[in-house]
Amino acid sequence: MGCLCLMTCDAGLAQETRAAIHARKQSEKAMSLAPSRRGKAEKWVNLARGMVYQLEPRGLYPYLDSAYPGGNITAGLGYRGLYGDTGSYDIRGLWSVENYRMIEASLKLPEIARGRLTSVIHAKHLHADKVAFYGIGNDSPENERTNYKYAPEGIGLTETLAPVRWLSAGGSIAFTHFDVGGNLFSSRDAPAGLHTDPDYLIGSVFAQVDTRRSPGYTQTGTLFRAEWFHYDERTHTKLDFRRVDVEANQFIPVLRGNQIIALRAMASFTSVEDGDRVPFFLMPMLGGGSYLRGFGDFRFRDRHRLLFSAEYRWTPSKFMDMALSYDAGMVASRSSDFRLDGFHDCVGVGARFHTPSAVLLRIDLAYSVEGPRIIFSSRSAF
Amino acid sequence: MLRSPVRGTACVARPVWLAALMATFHLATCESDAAGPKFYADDPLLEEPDTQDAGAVQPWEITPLYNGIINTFSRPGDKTQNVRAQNVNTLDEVPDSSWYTNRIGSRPIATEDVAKGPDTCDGPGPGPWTVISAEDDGLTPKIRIRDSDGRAWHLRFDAQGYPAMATGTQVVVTKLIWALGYNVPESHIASLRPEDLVVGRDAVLTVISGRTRPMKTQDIGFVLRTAPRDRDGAYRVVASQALPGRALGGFRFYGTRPDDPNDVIPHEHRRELRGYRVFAAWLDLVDSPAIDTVDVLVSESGRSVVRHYLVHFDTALGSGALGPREHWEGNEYMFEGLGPIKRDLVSFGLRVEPWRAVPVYESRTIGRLQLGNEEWNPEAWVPRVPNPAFLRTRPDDKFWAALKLAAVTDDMIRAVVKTGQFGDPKSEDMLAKALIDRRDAIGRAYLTAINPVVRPRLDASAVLKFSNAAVDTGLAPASESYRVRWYRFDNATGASTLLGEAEGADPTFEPPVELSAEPGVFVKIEICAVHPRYTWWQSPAAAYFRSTTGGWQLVGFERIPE
Repeated sequence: MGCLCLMTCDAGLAQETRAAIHARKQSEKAMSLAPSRRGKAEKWVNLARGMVYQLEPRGLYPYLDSAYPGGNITAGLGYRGLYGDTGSYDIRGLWSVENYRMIEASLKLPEIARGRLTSVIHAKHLHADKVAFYGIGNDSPENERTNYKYAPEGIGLTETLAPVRWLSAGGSIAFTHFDVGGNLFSSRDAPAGLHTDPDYLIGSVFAQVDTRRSPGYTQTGTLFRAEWFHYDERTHTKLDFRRVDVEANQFIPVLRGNQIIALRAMASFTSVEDGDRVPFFLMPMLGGGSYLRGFGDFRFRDRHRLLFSAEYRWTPSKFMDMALSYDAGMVASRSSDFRLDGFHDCVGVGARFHTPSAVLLRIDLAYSVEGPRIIFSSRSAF
Repeated sequence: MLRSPVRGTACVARPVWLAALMATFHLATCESDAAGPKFYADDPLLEEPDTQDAGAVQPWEITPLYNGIINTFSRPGDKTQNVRAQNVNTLDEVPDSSWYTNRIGSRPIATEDVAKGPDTCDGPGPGPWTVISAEDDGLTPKIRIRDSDGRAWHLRFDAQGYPAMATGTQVVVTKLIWALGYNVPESHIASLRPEDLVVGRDAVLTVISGRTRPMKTQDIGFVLRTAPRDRDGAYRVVASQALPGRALGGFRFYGTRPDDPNDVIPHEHRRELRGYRVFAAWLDLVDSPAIDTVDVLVSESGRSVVRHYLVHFDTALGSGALGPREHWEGNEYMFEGLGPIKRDLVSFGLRVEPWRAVPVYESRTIGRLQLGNEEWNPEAWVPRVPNPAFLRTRPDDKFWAALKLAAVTDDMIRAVVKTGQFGDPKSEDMLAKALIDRRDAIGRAYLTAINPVVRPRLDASAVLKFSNAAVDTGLAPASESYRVRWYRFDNATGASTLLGEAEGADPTFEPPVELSAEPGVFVKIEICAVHPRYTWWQSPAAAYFRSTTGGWQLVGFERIPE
């Protein structure tokens, strides 16, 4: 016979009623009650919860990102606090094994207009003294790499108006001082901007359509973003320029996310007035973990850039994607110089470990004519 | 080929001498391990009493993430396999308790009653609503108010772009879960106009960061900024009445609450929590490991006791609360273990799970519903994370739940769906059809999986009558015949003595001549069905009757005898 507490054959006890047996068990428990306590494991899980879900952490938190491409293994800390109901401040720093150092701070002001208008004040200091330079142009040789120091610092304000969740537009204004130098270019002409330490007033406006589920990770949706920059050099007169970045991403789930086709097209164009030049360290670039993955960081740079990427992803787990990738990109000094046979390309295979809203770790093995490269990143390639 | 998950002794025709020999053997074994009565004077117990004062119980918080991790990567609760539910009475039924109240399937209940559900009123009273507290998580607001009648309500909203989906789903599922016997808060669709809100003197606002501060009148617009607004400027809300008593946090689906003296049966062995798996599958309640539960401390009969509630059903049916239900939900756990990862790491996505190809119906009002529910397999359904009680569900638990569900009529389902006020007749029809088809699929799966004999009874002449749940619900063709075997049962020793056996196509059997109706006499009757398709129905169920001065009283029923 079945055995619930209510009907256990408590034979030897010779109880008269089933209810009495049940009451006795409750009475026995009443003599040995224990408080409900949260275990250590649960406490640790709660501490880690903000990180795991990429919620906005509060207080001190480990900050894992790249200080600047080429910095190698990097670690850091951040501290985040609240400002009003919906505002926050965030201070974080990174230090890499290549002695790249970055510290940045941001203040997100409380939302205005029912959350449609957001304002962020941001400041940043970066010191990277081994930034790769291979020369300018789409045919820059791999074996002529030199390094330069790149140490910008600045402060700015970004305003974003989002009338609906998927549509936003805005602009920013920033003042940035660039400290750029190094013992470079013995075999080349000194590129524009070297040893000039320019100060820039940078204004930009942008518009964006974004139907992705989350900027950090998505399996579906579209991103279209166009941003126009005006770089106004304040101390030297010949380094003013304008730049336009356009990017379109499309994520197409197949069989409800069993596979995802991810496509990206991006273009950057700069323009100058007569006599002005674009400083080499602000030129559009290719190479590195997100832009032409089979080539080293900053492998190609010039006035204009085109990049196309495609990924075929499949999902062995809801927390892990595998991907086959193909990138093709080209830089050019004139937009009319772009030609199909000038594109550098690479293929790759990789894995992404992610939460529903953010990639935590991306590992890519990319291969180009210049050999294989392994990429570790805490962000999606696109 | 059909297979039953239950193994048991086949109720095949046997010579009487063999049956007598087996009965003698049974006698011997029973005598060896049973020295007390099998049935007590108060069997079957119809109520599970709370005899101790639980006033010392303290609130606790069950963290969803931690709970999910524990349930995903370990198997909390009793490690023993195939344990019979421990809170069923001798009739194999769940007694009324602080967890559960027998409603549909146990007593007559009208369609209007199901559509009314737990409601005791028409929702928040008219007039100004005083805000007690509000919460802004940046997604949808949550507001607690007190209406003009002094009752407290929780207001929840739909997500932008999905009018009626979360609120309507909450109301529909609340009523169905209530009908099935669980404690739920009454919930109503209501209309909120910002000008009707008055911020209470001690009202507090919890902002997205988690910080709580005094709430001001101008915060109302801020809190409501994420909620969709109707054309007339009002907000559609679901108002759930605040539960009576002191909130204690949720309950887990394993173990017991250590500070509640009345909580003595491990939750994973409670039948209503095991059977909740069947109802959760029916309603696609994927968020059912613990986070949608609430315990409250109430006063009953002069003592404090803990009552256990199920709450928050906006992640159910086609609704994912903030958007349509995800395709994988109900089909896979959130984390399926390392096996699929190893298998699919180099599959290049060429291996496709069947659910990825099942057609769906989608609308902004009810979300995303799987189509083709006539072929739906409830056994394959899973919540987002493993549920310890669900994992221990046995065929008799599922049968119990399926039998309750079979009592929910098509009309009841249609009436309840209408209470969701989705404002989309086509989608409402789709939703009702899905629920009807899924109910029938559950019946086909679980009412046929074990011996489906129900409602055995002896009339004044000791004529045995019973029903066949699978056949009576139209989910299985009629049995070829039934076989019964009568025993005199010694309640003190557990010994059975064969009196006779019979076989017939009609579920009505005359008693053997040797049967004594003297008060206090027990009779045990093994009943099995002979069906060419469901061969496992020959595994006998056992009914126990006690002779009283008022006639024969059913005191025990074992669908899967131990």
